[in-house]
Amino acid sequence: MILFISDLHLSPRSPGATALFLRFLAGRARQAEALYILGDLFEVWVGDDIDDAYHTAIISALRAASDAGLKIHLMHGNRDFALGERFAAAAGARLLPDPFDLVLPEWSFVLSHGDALCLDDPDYTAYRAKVRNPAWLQKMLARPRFFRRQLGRYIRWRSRRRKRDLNLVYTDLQPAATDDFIRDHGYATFIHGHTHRAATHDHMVDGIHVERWVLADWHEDRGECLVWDGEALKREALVPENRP
Amino acid sequence: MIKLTTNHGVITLELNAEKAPKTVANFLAYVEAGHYDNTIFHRVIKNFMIQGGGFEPNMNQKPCSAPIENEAANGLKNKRGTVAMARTNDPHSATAQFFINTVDNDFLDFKSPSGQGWGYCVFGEVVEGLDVVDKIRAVKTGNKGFHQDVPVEDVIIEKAEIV
Repeated sequence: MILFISDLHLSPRSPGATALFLRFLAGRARQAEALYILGDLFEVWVGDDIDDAYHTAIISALRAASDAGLKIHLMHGNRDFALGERFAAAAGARLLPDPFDLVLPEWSFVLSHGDALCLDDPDYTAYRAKVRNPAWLQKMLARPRFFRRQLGRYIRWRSRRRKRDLNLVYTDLQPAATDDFIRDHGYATFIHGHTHRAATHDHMVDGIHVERWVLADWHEDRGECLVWDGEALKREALVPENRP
Repeated sequence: MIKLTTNHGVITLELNAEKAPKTVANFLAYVEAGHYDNTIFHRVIKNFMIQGGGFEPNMNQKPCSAPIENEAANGLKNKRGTVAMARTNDPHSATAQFFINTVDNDFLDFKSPSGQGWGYCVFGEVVEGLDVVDKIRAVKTGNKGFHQDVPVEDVIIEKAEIV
């Protein structure tokens, strides 16, 4: 069994989603062989050397699941693009390139965060070109830690404000580019996140039917994972546990 | 009064609508909708409590209505034999799941209106069938899926009705 998740946007400001994820790692995820996190696990990431208690707790939880036998794969998102090898090693996870062809004996998938195909928003395309440039990233990560901590706080504040003020609408994938992408990846079933519009789309590319599964983003009171059981994909809701 | 007919016997609850009006109204709405029929006590810890009302016998979680306000500041204590609402980390998140305290659990009482201090809202008590509760608390439990303290043999609420 393989699980796919994305867009958790974890931060100290999202205790509910964080608790859901920690419980998921300690419970549900351990029934699977592999977990694929397709970007934006974190709301912001400004360097693997920022070792505050919050990040340490998440890293230990990933490590514990990994030590228990879960193979964790992690892709960068547009928010946590600075996640590096040091983080991956500490968490017992493997960083994946985007896109990544997941070829199983029984089926083929292509995995991506999804933002690279959102080509209809010129502002976003320019932003992406900047932050995904290795030289820019290297320069950013070379800044002092206090500066990057500040930067992280600023980015979180700005994104909260933008969501509040603009009722933020995410641009969707560009249809022609998506068809090309599917063609380039051998008509494999396409799984991605980023748009926060969970849905399953049917594409006809060169007369071949291809499914595109968009993963759901996580909220304070609910999350979702996509489950591959060897035969079919199925969405599974993750809700907080009731306790006294 | 609420009559819970279980496969271990009948438990009768008296609800306190005066002290916990919203919680009682919420519980009654679930009873009337038949939500609790064929649900299980899925979390049983002998010297703590028995919790149920959220899962079907195969550990399928049932859908619930909107969460309610936490009325734990009503002065009712989590004493043995009282009924209270289960919830998530969010103090105001109780939906359908409830628990019956099998011992005095003072630490579950309201302390302050913030974070962990909110406690768990007592809204009634067992007036008949505490022996049934004691039978249930003593059943053998284990892990099921990723749930702990789940009775090995289902403890089923066959019917919940207003009497």
